[in-house]
Amino acid sequence: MVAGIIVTHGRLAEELVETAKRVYGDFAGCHAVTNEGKSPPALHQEIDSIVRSLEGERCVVFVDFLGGSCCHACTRLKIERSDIPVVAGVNLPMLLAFLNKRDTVPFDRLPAEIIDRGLGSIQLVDPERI
Amino acid sequence: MPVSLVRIDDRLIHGQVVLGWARVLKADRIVVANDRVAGNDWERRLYTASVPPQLAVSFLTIEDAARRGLEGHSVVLLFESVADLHRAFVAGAHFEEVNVGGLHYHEGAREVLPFVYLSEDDRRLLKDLIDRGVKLIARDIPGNPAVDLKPLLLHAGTRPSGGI
Repeated sequence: MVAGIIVTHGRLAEELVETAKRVYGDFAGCHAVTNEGKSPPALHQEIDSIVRSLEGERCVVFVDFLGGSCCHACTRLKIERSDIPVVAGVNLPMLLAFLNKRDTVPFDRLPAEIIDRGLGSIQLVDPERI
Repeated sequence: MPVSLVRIDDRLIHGQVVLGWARVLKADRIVVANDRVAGNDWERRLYTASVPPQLAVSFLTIEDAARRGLEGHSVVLLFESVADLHRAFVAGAHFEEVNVGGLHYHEGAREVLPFVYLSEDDRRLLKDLIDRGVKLIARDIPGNPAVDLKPLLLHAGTRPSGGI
């Protein structure tokens, strides 16, 4: 199974995982991380220790937005571990797509597919075109 | 160096700085004074990515920040640590007031406020700044109460009663 690590401000990561469980059903292998009360080195260390705990299992890292202390820690990880995809701008449809595709879509195509779903979910709602 | 805000924050540029302080103070520039970031291309790019285009960003070494005049600008000047700010002060940058905005747990540090952890070295340097006439105000974002750090530094490790 491909693991997910979701890094956000406040309780967003935790709530994204909990909310996804209400939609998708229970699942394992997604780790929620908050930057709350953590120095940049402490946040980086927490993400790094989750990656190490996976013992070589593949993972995708999600972060709430580009820039900011969460993205900073994830970029640091990306520099150290170029094999781990880091996706900024995580939203609920993107996370659901990840859950749905992580065991079926080849790992090298997974980031592009979930980004596609995340982007596609952002639209001006028009009753005529739904 | 007339600046709108001098701040110590271990996260440097992030949401509280851009959306909180720079927006409220109508700053036109954020200056990061940090030797590591000044010499690190990806960190500079990443910090710049979190700033809206109407806000300019500069990255200076501590020494350059202490020397360079920023007259005519409304500037938020950021330091990562107490030690960095103290170095700039000793090198000639004189601040009347410093905003202590975020120093999270680091080696040997104890909690003074939920967003301010200080080590013995931090305390010593901050007391030195107070002796040199600097006012130290702990405040994470503009909407929250300003806490004078001076009495908290004199009574080690205690929190203000009825404070933040």
